[in-house]
Amino acid sequence: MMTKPKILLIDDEVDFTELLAENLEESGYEVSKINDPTKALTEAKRFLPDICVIDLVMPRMDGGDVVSALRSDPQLSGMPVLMLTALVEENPNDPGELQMKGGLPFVSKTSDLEVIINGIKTQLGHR
Amino acid sequence: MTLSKDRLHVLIGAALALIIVALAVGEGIAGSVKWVLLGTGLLLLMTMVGATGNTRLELYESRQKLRKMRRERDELSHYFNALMDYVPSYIYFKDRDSKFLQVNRAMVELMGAESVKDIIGKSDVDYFDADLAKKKRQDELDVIETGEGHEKYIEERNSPGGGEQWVLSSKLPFRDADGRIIGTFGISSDVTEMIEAQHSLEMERNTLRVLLDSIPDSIYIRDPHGKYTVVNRALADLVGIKDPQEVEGKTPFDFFPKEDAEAFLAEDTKIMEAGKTVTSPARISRRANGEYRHLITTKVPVRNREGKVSGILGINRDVTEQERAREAVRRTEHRMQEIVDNSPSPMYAKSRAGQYLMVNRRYEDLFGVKAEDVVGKTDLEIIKDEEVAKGLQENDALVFEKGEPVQFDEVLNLGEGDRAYVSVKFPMRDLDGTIYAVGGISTDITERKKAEEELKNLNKELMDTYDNLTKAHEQLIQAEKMESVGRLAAGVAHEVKNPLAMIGMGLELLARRLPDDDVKGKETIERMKRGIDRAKKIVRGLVDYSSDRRLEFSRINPNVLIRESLELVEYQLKEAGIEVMFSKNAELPEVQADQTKIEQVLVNIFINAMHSMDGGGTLTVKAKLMSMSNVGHDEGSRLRERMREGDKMVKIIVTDTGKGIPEEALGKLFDPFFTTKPTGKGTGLGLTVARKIADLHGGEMTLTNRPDGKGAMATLSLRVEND
Repeated sequence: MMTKPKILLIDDEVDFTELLAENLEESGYEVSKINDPTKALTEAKRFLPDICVIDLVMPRMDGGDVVSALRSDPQLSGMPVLMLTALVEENPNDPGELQMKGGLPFVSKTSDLEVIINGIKTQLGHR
Repeated sequence: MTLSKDRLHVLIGAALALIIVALAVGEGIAGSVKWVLLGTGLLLLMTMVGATGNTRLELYESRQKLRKMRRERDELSHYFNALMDYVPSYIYFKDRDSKFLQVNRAMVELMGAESVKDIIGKSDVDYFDADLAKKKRQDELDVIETGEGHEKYIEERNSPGGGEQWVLSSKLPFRDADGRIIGTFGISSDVTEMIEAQHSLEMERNTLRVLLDSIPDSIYIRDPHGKYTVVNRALADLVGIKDPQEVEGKTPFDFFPKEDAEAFLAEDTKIMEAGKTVTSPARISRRANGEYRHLITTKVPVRNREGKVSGILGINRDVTEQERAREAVRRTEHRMQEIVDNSPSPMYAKSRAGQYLMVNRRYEDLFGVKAEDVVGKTDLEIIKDEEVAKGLQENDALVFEKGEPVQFDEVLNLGEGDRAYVSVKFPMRDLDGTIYAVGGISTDITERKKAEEELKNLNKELMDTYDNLTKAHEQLIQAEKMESVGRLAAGVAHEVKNPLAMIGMGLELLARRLPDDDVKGKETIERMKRGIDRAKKIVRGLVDYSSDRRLEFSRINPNVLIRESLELVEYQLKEAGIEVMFSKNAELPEVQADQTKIEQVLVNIFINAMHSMDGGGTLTVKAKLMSMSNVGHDEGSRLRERMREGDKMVKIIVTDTGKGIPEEALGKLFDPFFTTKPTGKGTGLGLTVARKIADLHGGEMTLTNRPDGKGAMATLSLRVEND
């Protein structure tokens, strides 16, 4: 049996993080959750996820800063990320489309679970 | 009688002569001697006889003279008597005592005596009253005393037969052959008739004079030399002389400038030669004081008893005042004519018979005619177009009939395109108020019309610009509002989407937990997912609204749009106790629309309607096809403006039976964040976004109260794409 892909969820919304984590776990992923973005780097080093799913708008440290922190760590610099934010809208014609902004893949937070998972799979494939 | 020596000589001579003749006649002497003798004898004899005759002749002559004298005396006496008997004058001779020496027969009759003899030796006392007799006696004494008679005096006296009598008398001293005054004699004639004739003549003359002097015309008679022989007062006035008699004997040279006087007399001469009356029309004559007068002069040749022209009778009528009045009228007329001629409008006057009485210069220029060619003619004669002439006549007739000015719009084409005229035709009345003509003034309003048209266009342009500006301004305001709305929406979206995402995740979990046979549960999950989708779309719409995203057009049947929109709110409406009335219109063509956005608009409308119907009501949805021709004025100008000829639109009309829109809210319905709903029931963005969506579709959304006042009415018009 294949080892489950590890996903680190970084989002300040506790309820959303819990629900998404549960869904991802039920979909065959090992999930770790961080609601305080400042602790993201530490957890990433500890958990060593295959991919980080990061909210963009967070207090104290936004998603971009988190990505920068991860990239600056030699151990984590190659790790794929998927940005999950309410600030982008789904493309009505292609809800699954990953929107590249600033070199990062974005998915709308309100996207269906399937869309999010597809995004994760795509990014994992790039590894 | 004794023989004188002469006679004796004669006798001797005669005897001798006889002897010689006898000798000669005798036989004794022959030849030539005989004839000489005979001749001598005869000669001598004849001489002797002649000598004797002379003496006798003288005697004879004396006798003859005497006889002649007697005869002459008798003749004279006869003449005298005849004269005395038949002369119609009264003749008398009186002695120094005034006793009648001789009277003629007329005198006898006058004195009522039988015969001359009865009177001789008597005096006036015997025949006349004492006073007269005394006066006569005194007169005669004067004559005798002074030796001077009274000659040819006229006196009035009572005729013996009664009545007045005028006599011409002479009373002279009667002298004898030696010149001594032996009495008086007198002769008097009845000149009553003559005097009376003279009096009546004088009266006539006076009357004539008065008449002449009273006539305001100046009248004169000039003789062939140009001298005034008769002059009336008016003429004296004309030449500046007080007394007409002072003018008589003078000539025009005394009163008028030389050239004038010469002209007058030259004319006199001409008329006298022609022997015909001449009346000269008004002409100007200068008065002595330099003033000009207008005169009408009539000159009549005057003839003497033989019928020969002996002068000129002139009558000058002074018409200066009339002429001045006429001049004033002429000047006024001229002034009026100038005004009329310089008017830029053609003017004219036509008689009742339709004949032109006048036209002004502008009329001449405009129609290329001369006034003299037009005046007296009718429109038909000028225009030669029966139709047009008839039209004009009818207009004229209307003015005559109405008796007041009437205005007509006329279009004339004079070769340079149509010109527009406004013609005022008015009745022209004489001083009695009777309409005798129709006058017309036509004003060319082509330029004015053009200017008006330009002004109208300019105004429209201005209005359009203003509208555009207003629209732009509104759009700018709207854009600004929308920008802030967008910014707000974007901010809000994030916060809204997070819980939405959360619910979505939760539903995913719940869905997996449902047993496979829980169909109802799965359906509920699906409905909830659709709800989330809608919420997401609305949030996206809000964000899109500010970010001007392209619409996703597709061809879609309006019935489907309505039905699916109704489905979205079906549950809510049912809960609110609202009955939905919608029957699809099979004739509607497909429209180009972004289904999601249009559904968003319709849902917004339905929700608004629902909110206005507290306690239930009826929501009616209809859709119809509109084209330019059946867009009524009441549909609103915006729709008309958006539609072009040939365009078609589908109009979705949603009416409710709610409380309607408050009057004060009508103008603000589409303002962002304006809401009439209680807190929590509306965001104030729904209609703002809805209208924006309608606008982006090239359609229109309206929201008003129903005309019947029983609720509100919303419309959404969508363009039908032309194939």
